[in-house]
Amino acid sequence: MAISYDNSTTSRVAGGSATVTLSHTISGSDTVLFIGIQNQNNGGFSTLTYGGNSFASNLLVSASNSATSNGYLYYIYAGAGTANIVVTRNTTTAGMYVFGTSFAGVNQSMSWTGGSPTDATTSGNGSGASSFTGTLTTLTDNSWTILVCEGDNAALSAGTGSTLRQTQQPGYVAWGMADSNAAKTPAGSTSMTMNFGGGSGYNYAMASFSPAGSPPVTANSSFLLFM
Amino acid sequence: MEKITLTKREYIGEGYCHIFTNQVTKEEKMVLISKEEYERMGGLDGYTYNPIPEEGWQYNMSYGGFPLLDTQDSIGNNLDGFIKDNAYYVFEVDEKFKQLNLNQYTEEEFNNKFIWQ
Repeated sequence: MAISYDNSTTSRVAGGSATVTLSHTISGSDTVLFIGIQNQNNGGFSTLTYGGNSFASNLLVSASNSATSNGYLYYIYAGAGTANIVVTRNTTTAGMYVFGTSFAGVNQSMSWTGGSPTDATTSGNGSGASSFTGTLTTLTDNSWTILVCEGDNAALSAGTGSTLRQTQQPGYVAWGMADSNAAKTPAGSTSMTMNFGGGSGYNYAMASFSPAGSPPVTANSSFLLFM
Repeated sequence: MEKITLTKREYIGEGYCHIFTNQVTKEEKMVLISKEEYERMGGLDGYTYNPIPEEGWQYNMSYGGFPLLDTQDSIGNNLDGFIKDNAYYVFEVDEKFKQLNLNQYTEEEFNNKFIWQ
């Protein structure tokens, strides 16, 4: 089954606010919701739920640009329907930006760590650049990639390998969530580039996710094919 | 160094709200709600408690946990300050980010930088 893009949502709160709730509707079968958060302080979170179900333990990868914000990429398997994403943080000094993007046709037992992962993650940060390219090696044929990011100085835009779904840019800095909008076949190295004005920094948290019904291509499974 | 003049506000409590966007003008409208109204939106079928907007308006999001102050709209604005649990808080616009931050100060830090109006 091929992965297909479903829906994306976003919202933000300014300094002083601890919690935000936004509605997200998911359609299709074998669905997954990725939640990207860019929080402008180091306080962490007390509540992370979709439809009342916690995704706090489903952190895929995080990234930090200490001058601006910390990025977090979470996921939750959630069926078709409408529910609220709720994010509550512990410290309220500056802003927080929340993104949700859902997909259908996704492997419902993905693993990004451990002995036989189906998917991979990467992250990065830097300064003085006007673009970044996140690169990872997918482990399963026809996987897609997704990232949440922050880039300084002028509008964030999608570069090679990226489709920008949602962005927030109240001022100098832009935050956004993008995906590959295409399957990587065969499995292997793949990249997403995002462009921005450049300046004091950027960060990105990126992961791959595999299609439903496709076993991972691993050394062991290749060996079994020859048996 | 010249001190920054603040408007002293009274902390009333914790605020929660819905945000609606006008479908034509894109104007945003805030409607204050109770903590209970906010929290019930986070449950299993919490979305059923999402507000139904007036005609011409679209429900955007809800947020909360912010300080309610004795301002006209109960919301803190740039250079509003208040004291809560012996800590000093000041709303300050971050010009670079074009956003309103809520910064916390000790009494000493506060007195070195600010003065009440």
